[in-house]
Amino acid sequence: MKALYQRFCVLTCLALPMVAWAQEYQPKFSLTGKARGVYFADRYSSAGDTVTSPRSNSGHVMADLGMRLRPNSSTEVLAMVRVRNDYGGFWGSGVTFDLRQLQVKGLIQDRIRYTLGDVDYALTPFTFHRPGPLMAGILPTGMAQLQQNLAGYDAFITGNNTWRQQGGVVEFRTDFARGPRYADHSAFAFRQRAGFSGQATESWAIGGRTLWTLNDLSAIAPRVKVGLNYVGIQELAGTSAATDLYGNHVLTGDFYIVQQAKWLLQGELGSSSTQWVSGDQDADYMVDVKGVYWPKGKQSSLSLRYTEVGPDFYSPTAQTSPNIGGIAPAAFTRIGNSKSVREWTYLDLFRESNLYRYRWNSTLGSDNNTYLILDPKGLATPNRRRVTADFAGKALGVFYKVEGVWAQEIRGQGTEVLTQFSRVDLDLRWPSRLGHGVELRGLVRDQRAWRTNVGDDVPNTSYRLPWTSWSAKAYLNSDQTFSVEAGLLTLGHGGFAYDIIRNAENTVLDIRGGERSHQELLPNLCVNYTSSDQSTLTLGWLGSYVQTLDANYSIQNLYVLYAINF
Amino acid sequence: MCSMRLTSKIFATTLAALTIGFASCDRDLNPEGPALTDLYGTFKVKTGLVASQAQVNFANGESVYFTAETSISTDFVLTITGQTSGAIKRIEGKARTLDATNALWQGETSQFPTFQTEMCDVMLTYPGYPDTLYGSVQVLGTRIIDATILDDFENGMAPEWVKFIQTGANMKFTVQGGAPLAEGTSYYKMGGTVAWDWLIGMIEMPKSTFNSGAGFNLNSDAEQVYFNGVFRQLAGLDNAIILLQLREDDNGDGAYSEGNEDMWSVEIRPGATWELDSYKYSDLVTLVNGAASAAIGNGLHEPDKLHRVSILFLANPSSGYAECDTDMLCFTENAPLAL
Repeated sequence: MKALYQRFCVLTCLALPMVAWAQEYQPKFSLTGKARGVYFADRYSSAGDTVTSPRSNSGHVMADLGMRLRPNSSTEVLAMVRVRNDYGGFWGSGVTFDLRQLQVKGLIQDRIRYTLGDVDYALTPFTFHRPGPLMAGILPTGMAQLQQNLAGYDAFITGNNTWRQQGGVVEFRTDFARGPRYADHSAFAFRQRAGFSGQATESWAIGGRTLWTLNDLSAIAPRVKVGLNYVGIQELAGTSAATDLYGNHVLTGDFYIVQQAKWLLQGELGSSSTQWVSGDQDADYMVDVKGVYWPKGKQSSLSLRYTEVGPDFYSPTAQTSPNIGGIAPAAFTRIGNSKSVREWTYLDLFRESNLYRYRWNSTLGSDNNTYLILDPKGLATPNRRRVTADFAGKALGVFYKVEGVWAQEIRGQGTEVLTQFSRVDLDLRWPSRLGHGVELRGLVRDQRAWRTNVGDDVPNTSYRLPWTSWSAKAYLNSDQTFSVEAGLLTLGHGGFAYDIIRNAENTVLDIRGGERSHQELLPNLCVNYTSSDQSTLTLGWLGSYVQTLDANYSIQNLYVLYAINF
Repeated sequence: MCSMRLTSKIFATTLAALTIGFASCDRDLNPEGPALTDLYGTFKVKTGLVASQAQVNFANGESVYFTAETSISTDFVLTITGQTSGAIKRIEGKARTLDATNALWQGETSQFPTFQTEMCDVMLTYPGYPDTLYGSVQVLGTRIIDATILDDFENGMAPEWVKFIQTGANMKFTVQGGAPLAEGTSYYKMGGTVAWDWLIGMIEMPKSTFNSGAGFNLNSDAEQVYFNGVFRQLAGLDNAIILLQLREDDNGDGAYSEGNEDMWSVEIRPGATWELDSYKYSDLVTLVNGAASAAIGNGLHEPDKLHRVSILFLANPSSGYAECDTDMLCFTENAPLAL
């Protein structure tokens, strides 16, 4: 037994950072969190609209006060309370108190890290992965800052595609004397729905990941990592009178092989099985393989990726779309002389967190998205096979990236003829030393969907989504604390497309085709004062000019935003 | 070396698990949802309207279905009209092909009166398109009603009914004939003005006298039992209320004890045309002054303990004259009555 122990594995202390965490000086009590003050002065305008009030002002000041208690060297308690006061509330109904996060974490014998309570958690893109917000990565900096500090922060969006969950996580590392170098393990159990004494069926998500690093980085042999991932969602029998229970299980394996500064090969493959409440069952698989090549001596990279996600591959924790379609925005909810409900546009996504999904949705459902048609549910969007190629590098001081995606349905929707999709991105960045520093960026994205020759005079799918994003940022002083930025985002989609109407078990009930046209122009001009990495004061102007088949209006706003993380 | 074997085992286990996962996936590549050619193609009639048989005898348990085919799946309305009775059966749906699954007629009626032995015209229309297809079918025998019939009033009012009529003006509690008819050639009319009470009159069928004293003999499962009746009120009036009351002999002593045993009720407000109303026994509630309230007796729906059926004819005393007709009062099992 001892020999086996020595040969195979030695359960050592955790990853080095954990040990360091345990050993470095930690005060018994500290504060962490974020504070924010924001004010918007909106002006609405639409030709012929004599009913809608043209001005609307809103704003609040808010502090998330996280009290971090360390009763001993291996335990930490975090309780974060939100205090928010809408401007004008003044000790009255505008003041709200809420619990933002409650968490206990610690180390067991300096070896096993555990976290209980509110946890931000993510695994691989096909198992447990919150798709990023719409247009993540392409927004001009000023707009991205608005989105991150307002709606994104409130909706628990992190840069790591995590979902905010309630439950427990256990993590530890296994070191090996020979063979594999070490393996990192993570296991979780999150309660999704309480039973409420039999009124609902209790639901849990359990799973985890084990990632094995087989060798160290070296200039000679490629480094290899292999992983195994599992996520299971299960309604629990006996917690209510229900006997038909939902269950979803996703198992994938992934690998990562990299030859330092030469090439990379990574991939994931796996399968899912789903038991619906109706008794129906679905099972399917996915494959994702990506290769990257870095030409020697050149600041460039070339990558090629093939992804196939079966039409019945359901992984709700990776496929829930980030936004909720069909709900009305809070600002200028009804517009026009007929007081029609306004559909949310991208301007609303900067400010309104209720347009985001806070939780993953176990049944997926219809969720048609006019902004995204190729991958409305992220990389793990079911019923897609796609090839992605990109080339990135630097020339004449300009960083460039060209990416092309071609995708196709695997199973037809109402026909055997498959819809095709394409997306081409050209992204240019020019960081210049002009003055105290200038950053220029331009991104052009062309997306299309098409399907022809279905027969019997069925209209062709012919849909285009041309977007552009432009920004210029100039620093006004040598320590770059003051900057001015101009940005422009143009979003369009138009043509003939079909919405797929599904029930809660993803069965297609109806297919509704229609002509669409949507143009959105968002200019932005702002001045920033960044006193530290953690705090920014912004004074800006943001416009949204919208033209659709049903509406033609603009909303312009002046805003002040101060945000600080501490 | 052993570690390498361990690694190999891990790889093998992973591979095996994923292989099993893949092997269990039999990918269904049949298109999802309704065919686009059905939804958005060009409409054409491909096959005309045909009855599966030219003559049908519903009394023998026969049925007839109709066939037709169009190029796309579309809404259709199949209308069968009795040439003598004027009865109408309407079948609606959405399909590319009409067949026994969606265009079957078993002699029922959508719009009263009921069908007689007669020649019927059949018309098939497609809303949104001008095409209309015609056909015919002859009814040789009308459908047999499988029900515990309290009264169909075809032979006058059954003597088992206990009648109570208030003192008032223009009081009418009689069996009538003549158009508009519901089932058969007779129905029961209730009417009158009672300025001092909601109750205008009522009829009661006690278990002790029904079926020569044999009782109602209903199923004990309240989920399987339906009360059915055809009602209408005089066109131009909207004040008639039919209150159905089913009293149960919970303790089995042969009598209904007021205030101690269950009485299940439903309020019916008939429209101006004949309507067949059906109520599942288990859906009936206890009504006190028209509002749902706690059960009076043991709270169990027990059709086999039904003591008597009461049909009260009510109207707001300040609303003036009220008139209501009824026909085919019956219980059915497993499904509502189809006439």
